[in-house]
Amino acid sequence: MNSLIDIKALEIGYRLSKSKTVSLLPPVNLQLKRAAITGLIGVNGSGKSTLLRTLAGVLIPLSGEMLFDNFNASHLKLKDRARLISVVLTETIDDPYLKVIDVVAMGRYPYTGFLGKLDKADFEICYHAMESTGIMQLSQRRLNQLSDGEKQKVMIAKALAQDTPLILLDEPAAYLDYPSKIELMLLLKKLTIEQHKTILISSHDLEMLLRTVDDLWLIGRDLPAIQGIPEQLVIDGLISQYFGTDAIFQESGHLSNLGESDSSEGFYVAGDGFRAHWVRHALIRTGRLISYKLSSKNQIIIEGSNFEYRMNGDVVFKTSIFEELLIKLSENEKLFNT
Amino acid sequence: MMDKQRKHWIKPGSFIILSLVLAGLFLLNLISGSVYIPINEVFSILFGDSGTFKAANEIIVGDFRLNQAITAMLSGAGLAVAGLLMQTLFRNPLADPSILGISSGASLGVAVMLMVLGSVSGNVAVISGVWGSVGLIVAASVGAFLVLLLILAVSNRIGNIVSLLIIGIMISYIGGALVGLIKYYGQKDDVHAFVIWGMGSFSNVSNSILPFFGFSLIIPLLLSFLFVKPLNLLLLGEKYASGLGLKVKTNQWLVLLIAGFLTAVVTAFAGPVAFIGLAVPHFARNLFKTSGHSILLPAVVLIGAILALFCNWIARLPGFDGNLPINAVTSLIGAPMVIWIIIRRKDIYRSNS
Repeated sequence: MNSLIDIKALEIGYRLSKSKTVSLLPPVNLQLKRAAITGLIGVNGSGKSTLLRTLAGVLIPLSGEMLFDNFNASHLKLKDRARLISVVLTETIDDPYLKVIDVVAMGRYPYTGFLGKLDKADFEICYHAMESTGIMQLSQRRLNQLSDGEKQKVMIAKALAQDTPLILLDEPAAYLDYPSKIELMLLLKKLTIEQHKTILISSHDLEMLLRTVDDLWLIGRDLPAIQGIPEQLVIDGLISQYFGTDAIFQESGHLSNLGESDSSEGFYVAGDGFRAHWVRHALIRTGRLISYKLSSKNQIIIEGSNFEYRMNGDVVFKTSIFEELLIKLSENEKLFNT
Repeated sequence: MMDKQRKHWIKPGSFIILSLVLAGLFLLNLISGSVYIPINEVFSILFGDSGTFKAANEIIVGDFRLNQAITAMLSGAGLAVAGLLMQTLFRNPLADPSILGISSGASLGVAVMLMVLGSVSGNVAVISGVWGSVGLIVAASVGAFLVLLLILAVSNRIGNIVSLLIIGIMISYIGGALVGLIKYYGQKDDVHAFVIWGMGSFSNVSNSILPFFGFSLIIPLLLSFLFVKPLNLLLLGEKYASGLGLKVKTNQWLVLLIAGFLTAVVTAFAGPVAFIGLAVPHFARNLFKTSGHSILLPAVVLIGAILALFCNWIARLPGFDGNLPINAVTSLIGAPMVIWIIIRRKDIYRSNS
């Protein structure tokens, strides 16, 4: 079996009274891939959180089933569910005296008795969880001394200590700055590979999800929930359709047109991949075209930190400064246009 | 490593010191007052070593100071635990036992009794004597427990615990307004009797009702220790707590029941005693540098009892001619304590930026 969870005709929403229900989405049929990161995305109010909370068992589905390893999990006891699914939320905890280790240790509560006493093995698991998330050195720090990114790592360590095959994350990166977001996603990816965790993460940040997730769930108002690998959904135009706008890919739309541009006006960029990527980025941003044909009229050759511009094979100028490159290109174009 | 070792005995050490302070204050409450009674006499009275003390002193200690000290201790512990439970439940450092309107229910009960009986009998005689104090206790209990029942019933119908906080505050307003109306139409002496009740006192509990009082506080105090694990989980908020397998609603309801019961009992017997419930949990967290309830619960029991005994001792210092209103003393000591803790806490917040 390649999927951990099979969602079949699951109806999610709210129960107003015994007979009255409000369904948020058409019945959902999705499979959650095992040992992979799956992103959940959709416009605001489409029911991302409701779907996640239904999977987490906080909300009861209106109908349908969730098969957890072929076992219907929609009516599991809360305590048993806590050993299958752990959650990480947007909200961070702000308590002046809670230490990192205290919070991580809470992950062991589903396994402890009435008094919640932890034994040595429990603490071993907590230390391992903190090691995996790279917060071992923070273990005695108080929570409110940490950055938001560190706090979310603590919550992920808590989820690891909970020792569940599935981790659900509801907008965990909403308050994080860009580097922390990327770090978070890389950490999650590592967990799928090294610890075979199955991870479902909802986010507003389409770009972040496209860059990192293995599989993407797409939901929208009055549209059936669908899934696929991110690139497939982009190419099929489904993401634009579900978000109801083409604007999302305007910038990257240029990027996807690059290969098709065989215009002789396009720029051929050669050299080290990283710099070449950013040179193309700058060219596109300033409204130029890219060409992948060696015979192209305009060529930018990157050598070390130098950019060399050649026109019809002749070197026109050399510079190591991005801004100068763009300015000189414009001057050159003006010269030839007049 | 050194640091770790030191931390290991700080906790038991603090508990031993707190227990000694508690014992010392307990004795101090028996010794001092309008009449000084030497410590050896107090011991003789306590342990029934006859002949070595004056009969009058036996009455002072046995019938007044002893039950007053025990009442203060139990009330302080009860209010402090109720305050801690409320603060954890509502995840709000400003929550205190009176926040759900239970104290204001007790006030209303007392106001109704005083004014109704006062206008029936045309006199305030009801307030004096044993029947007067039992009457006050019954009236306050009825008021407090009616509000508690109302709160518990309402809590099942609303989704969010914070809404409950708002409802509690609204009930307080309603209670306060009704008390105001009753006072407006009441007779001067009745109003005065009400004001005196509102200032609180640990001397309402006579020897005959002390066992009942003690029993109705010790049971919920012991029960609160069964909730260490749920309370710790609730520190993370409702969503995380339920994600960790806690039946959040059930546990919130039970904790609410215990906290409300403690508040209702103390308020019924000692009047609305302010600030102990708010200040003691802060003091305990600050002292033990933890939010964990396995430490905090016993800590607030001890510190609550200590603070109440201390306030009771101050209120009865010889220079003050009898009893200062306990409510004034607890507020005068409790409020600066909270301010001090908050100013010190700022350092914690500062150090992270």
